[in-house]
Amino acid sequence: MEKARKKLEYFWMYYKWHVILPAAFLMIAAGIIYSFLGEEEMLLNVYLINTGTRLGAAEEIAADFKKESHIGDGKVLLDATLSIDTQDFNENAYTGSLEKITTEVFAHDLDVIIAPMDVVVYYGERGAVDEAAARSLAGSRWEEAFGMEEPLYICILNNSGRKEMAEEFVSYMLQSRKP
Amino acid sequence: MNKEKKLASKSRNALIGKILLYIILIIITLAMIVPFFWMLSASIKSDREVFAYPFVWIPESPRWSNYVDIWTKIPMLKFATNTIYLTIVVTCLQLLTSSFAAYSFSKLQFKRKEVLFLAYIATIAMPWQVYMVPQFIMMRGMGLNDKLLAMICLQAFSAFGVFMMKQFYDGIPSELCEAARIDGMSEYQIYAKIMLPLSKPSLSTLTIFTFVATWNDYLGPLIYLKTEAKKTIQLGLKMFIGQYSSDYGLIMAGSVLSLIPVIIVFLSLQKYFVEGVAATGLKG
Repeated sequence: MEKARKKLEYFWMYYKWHVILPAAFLMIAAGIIYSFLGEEEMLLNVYLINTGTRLGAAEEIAADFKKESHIGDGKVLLDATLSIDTQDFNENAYTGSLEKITTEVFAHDLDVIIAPMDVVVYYGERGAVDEAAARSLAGSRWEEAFGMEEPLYICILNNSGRKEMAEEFVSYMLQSRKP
Repeated sequence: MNKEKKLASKSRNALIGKILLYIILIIITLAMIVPFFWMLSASIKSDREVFAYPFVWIPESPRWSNYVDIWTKIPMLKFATNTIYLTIVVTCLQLLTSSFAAYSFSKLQFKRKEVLFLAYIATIAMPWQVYMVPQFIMMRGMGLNDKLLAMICLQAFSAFGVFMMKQFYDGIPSELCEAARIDGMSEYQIYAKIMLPLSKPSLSTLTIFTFVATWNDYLGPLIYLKTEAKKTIQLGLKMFIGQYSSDYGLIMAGSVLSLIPVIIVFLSLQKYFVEGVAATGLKG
């Protein structure tokens, strides 16, 4: 027992970094490989801005859209956590949503937005969307998920790189409520 | 008699001065510590009680279930795992890269060393918002969109870390390195066996800064991480803030839990932190 303890102490004193560093390197490498394996292609990116979407509703909508459109592999992302203040821009410093949306728009990575009219007008004035093409979601199948405290509109980004899928999503959202 | 009066007056003035100083220090301490206690108090209250008037520090029926609900209402365990993984990897990489680069800037001689160092440090002055779009496009082009690896690549290198470590290495006599070179040590051996063990205070300081910055990072994960499975604690806490209402009890409970690792790291390294601040002259 004493011999084993001394051996362990010797090993820890002289060889611990020879074990810890390769183990850490292997863990990081495994994490990186795992993150690339099974990674699905992004098919659609939708932002719900200033909506009162209930928790979990965005994932439900994405899953239902994938099922109805018979999309197999591929990511359909709906992000309902974003909010911007189109009147007082100082407020936007707290949420970071404006930076996120701006980055995605300029990177051509955002396809559809669902938002009240003031947000649509805000992005319309900056050439990101066509205000005239915005469609109201009143009477939509997912009206209850949004709360609809104020009317919401859906529109496709002008520089979206996935226009076909975006149009399919808009048609899906505009379908009337299920009986 | 006059001398005695003068002495008495001096000691009275010193006492008054001390009392005033302590009063000011207590006021400043309270100003720093009251928000923390408010956070603890709010974490065991319901939404209505958080902003109720008159204010109550300890509610009649403390809502300890907030600490359970945050794990069930959102995938907090997944968020915590991602945050721990990201923070540990970024901290280790920053320590490695910063100390390596700082050693070469401080102890090695090569052409345009000062210009390169100045150019690297000048990047600290550039606001992140200026390059966030091209940086995102670059990361997406590398196939790192919506991956933790994007965050690791972006934060593994720090100009501030290099600057701080270089300041410390400049204080270590170059004669140590010269003696080691004469003894036949390679540059890597000098870095690993002489410089690194001597730089524990500044490494501890850099560890604290990097750990806290990465743990609390909100904007980076917000922009680069999209799927829920990859999000971090700070993004998870944001999920309790809705368009028309916010669950403050749960937000505060989550904030208290997310503060614990930071406190542990700081308390473990605080002795070296003070040494590091004194040695480098930097407080961050």
